[in-house]
Parts: sequence; structure tokens; C-alpha cells
Amino acid sequence: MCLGIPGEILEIDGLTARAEFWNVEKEVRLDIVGDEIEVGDYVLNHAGFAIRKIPDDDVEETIELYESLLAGDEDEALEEIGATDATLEFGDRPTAVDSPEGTKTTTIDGIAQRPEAGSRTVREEPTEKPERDADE
Amino acid sequence: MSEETLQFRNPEQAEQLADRLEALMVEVDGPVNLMHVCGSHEQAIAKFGLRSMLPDGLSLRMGPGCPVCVTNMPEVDEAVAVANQGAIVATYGDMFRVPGTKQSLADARADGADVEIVYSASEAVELAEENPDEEVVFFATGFETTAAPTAAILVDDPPENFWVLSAHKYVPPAMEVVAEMPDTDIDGFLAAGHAATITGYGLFEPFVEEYEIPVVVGGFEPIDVMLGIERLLEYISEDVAGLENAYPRCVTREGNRAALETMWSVFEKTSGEWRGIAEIPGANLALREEYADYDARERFDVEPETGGPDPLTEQCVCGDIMAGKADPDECDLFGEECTPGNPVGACMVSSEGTCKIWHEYGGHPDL
Repeated sequence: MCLGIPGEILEIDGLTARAEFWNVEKEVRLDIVGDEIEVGDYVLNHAGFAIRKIPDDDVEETIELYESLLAGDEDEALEEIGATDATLEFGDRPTAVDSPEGTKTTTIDGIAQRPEAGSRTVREEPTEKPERDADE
Repeated sequence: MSEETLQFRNPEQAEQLADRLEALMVEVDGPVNLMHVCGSHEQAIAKFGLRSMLPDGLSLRMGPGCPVCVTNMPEVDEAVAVANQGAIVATYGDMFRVPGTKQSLADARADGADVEIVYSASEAVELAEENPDEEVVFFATGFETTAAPTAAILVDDPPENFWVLSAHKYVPPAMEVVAEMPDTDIDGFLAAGHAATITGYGLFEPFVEEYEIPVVVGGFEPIDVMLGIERLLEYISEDVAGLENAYPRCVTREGNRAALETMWSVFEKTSGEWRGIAEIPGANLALREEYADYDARERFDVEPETGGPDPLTEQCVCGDIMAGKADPDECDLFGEECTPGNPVGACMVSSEGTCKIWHEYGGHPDL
């Protein structure tokens, strides 16, 4: 019931579209997708309804962010790709504030900031990113 | 499968993340209890054997994240009562065999009631259009991801012979109840990526502040899940209650406004009993007064005749599993009297139920 599946829009007729999910064509409703949808767009489908248009860039940038993260320097990674909407979302770092009890709690202010991190290995060598076709 | 999808299943990256988890656990220097609240997360965790990659002392439990499993037996009884009054009951497939106190919808169909399985709310409407002389009731179950579609069909002026029996549930209040349970002791929540696609992750800000527990929204590929755990552990090691979106390819802070507006125009939050958890204020979704004409509870007699407790049901620990207090293999019935072919509790029925998932992948997934 809750498994969301991304599919490619093949044709649109009003609020109904045909979409391909891993070589299976299904009808999907566009009532609540909240975006202009065109043929060729990817949508996340839930129980027959598209709940989000998935920008291709997001997938690619997310992968790149993972790679940078895994290379060991998170701050550099965020700086490197923090200029895009998709990764700013990821980079929304809570700002720690001291609560009266002395425990740190957070408020999100949309600024890519993080509390002083614990010890972390930082590698200096740059990460190689695999080449990828833009249209994938 | 696309290259992107395969990227999210990269075993080397998963190993690297596992190494980071080990290092973070050394910093934390004590046991850590994480909870996820989504059946799809449990699917990914079991399917890819992710628990076996977690360091000692780091436990990852499933909370009340399977809507089928937290649907209370009397709600199933209501749907059965409607079916037995002659209406066509349309239901998602994973509710079909969930036991009520007397019968499941499958039992009702075997006894002659008309119960149809649909894959979407719009199919239930089509059923009403195709059968204008019949009364069609959509047994509407699930969290935000299916509540928004149910709302969409109701604002789209469905036919007069169509009603909705809402058993929709809303996750955030249930997380609060679990966070307050003294014996669960959760250090961090991995929030469900697809529910957050609708609601936005900003929704969790008050929760994080009030309970001082970090929340990270995670996706459903193995790397997504490992990354979500890594982010949570990072916050725990720093003693920071943070909120983060580790699934940015689907989730934004605001969520899907169109879906949210539709959902709240049709539904309002009411108090409701969640199986195994408690009576939870604001965790059930009922149709607003404006949609009373489509409310099956107004049209049909849904005062269910509840059966006596089944002795096997009494032994089922599904409730404790939903509250993160027990694992399936701690239940005497698991794999014996209770199997996917002959389920005693809802956790063994739904594809998102912890028991069914564990059974499918051969018992305790850590082994």
C-alpha cells in the first residue's frame, strides 16, 4: 500500500496519465501531484496516484553527494554542491541552541550549518565521480 | 533497472557506511535504539540484510509503520458489517485477509458478501460507476500517502452510490506516543520518505524540539537506509536533536502542497485506537462534515458485533511489535500457528508487516 514507485509518463489525458514502471504500463492519476506534468517526466506513484514529480537532476546530485560524503569530508561535499536546491535540502543543517536543561536542541533556519562535529577522518584527495550520461 | 537505482545498491558504499557506523558507535560508547516507522523500510532492511551490517549495540526496530497492522480489529469489523449489509466493499489487497474479531473481509466474501480488491481509490470509484444500482463502499486504509488520494477522489465529485469508510491514519502523533513510552527508549527516528513526500519534513520540527530526539527522513534503497542511520548516529554521537532530510530526491521541507491541501480539505484529525499502541489523539483521519454524504458510517450500520477473543489472538504479540517492544521471533506463534498462509495477526498478513517480512526472509534477519 505504501510502496512508492517512480515511473515515466507516456501520455496524458486530463488528470489521467499512462506511465511506465519497469516495463509495465499503468494508469496513474495526476490530481495531487502538485506540479505541471509533461510526457517524459518521472513521477513517484502511490496507489495509483502520482505524489511527486521527480527531477532527474535530483537523482544524479544525490548520488554525487553520497560519493562526496563517503570520501570522508562532509563539509566539503556540502560546499561543493550546496548551490543547488536539491542538495540544499540535504544541507539544511539544524543549528544547535542550548536549551535550559543544557541539552542541545535545534531549530532549522535553512542555513547549511552544523554543530561542532566529533572526530572525523578527513581525506584530502579529491573524489572521482563516475561519468554518467545526462539523459539517464 | 536503471544505473541510478543500482547506484543506491552499491555494496562498497554500504560497507563504507557500515564502517562509519562502527566508528560512530565507538564515540557514542553505549547502546543505541533507533526506530523506523515504515513497512517499506523494514522491507529494505530485511531484503538486503542490513541489520547484519549494523555494529553491536545498535538496534533498529520497526515502529507503528504498517497501516494494515495498526488498523484496529473493530475497524475491520465495520468493513465486514458493511459487506454483510449487501454493499460492495472495495479494499486494498493487503487488508483483505486481516482478521476482525469475527471475520476478515476474505471470510465475508467466502460467505457470499461482495468484496473487491482495488489498487487505487479511483478504481473504487470506477466500481461504483460500473454498478450504478449497487452501493459501493471504499474501505480506505493507510497513512498520508493513501489518504491524499482518497481525498482527491472525494473532491472530484464521485457518484451518489459511492461511500468511504475511513480507517486512514496519521503518523506523527503515533511517533509522539512511542517517544513517550518509558520502555521503548528510542534514541532516534528514521522517518518514512514517502509520507514525508506529502507532508514535508518541516512537520517534524516541533517533535524534535519537544522530545529532543533526532529525526532523519530516509529513502528506501539500501544506501538510503544506511545513510539515514548514519545521519542519526552522527546526531546521537554529538548529543544533538537534529532534523535532516536524507531523501532529497523526493522530499522537501514544505512537502506536496497540492496533496496536503486536498487531504486536509476532506479529512480532520480525530482520536483513535491504534492496534497495540494506544488511543492516540489526532492520529485517525475522519471525513469532515462537508463530506458526510459520502461517509459510510452515516449511511450504514457500522456498530459491529464483535466476536469473543480468539485464544490465538490473545497470544499474538503484534501490538508489542508495533510499539517496538518485541520482535516476531519472540512470539510463540511465529512460523508455527501463525504463517502468511494462515495468519493470526495483521503483522503476518500485510506485505509491510514485520512478521510477514521476517518470515519471508527466513526468521530473524540478523542470522
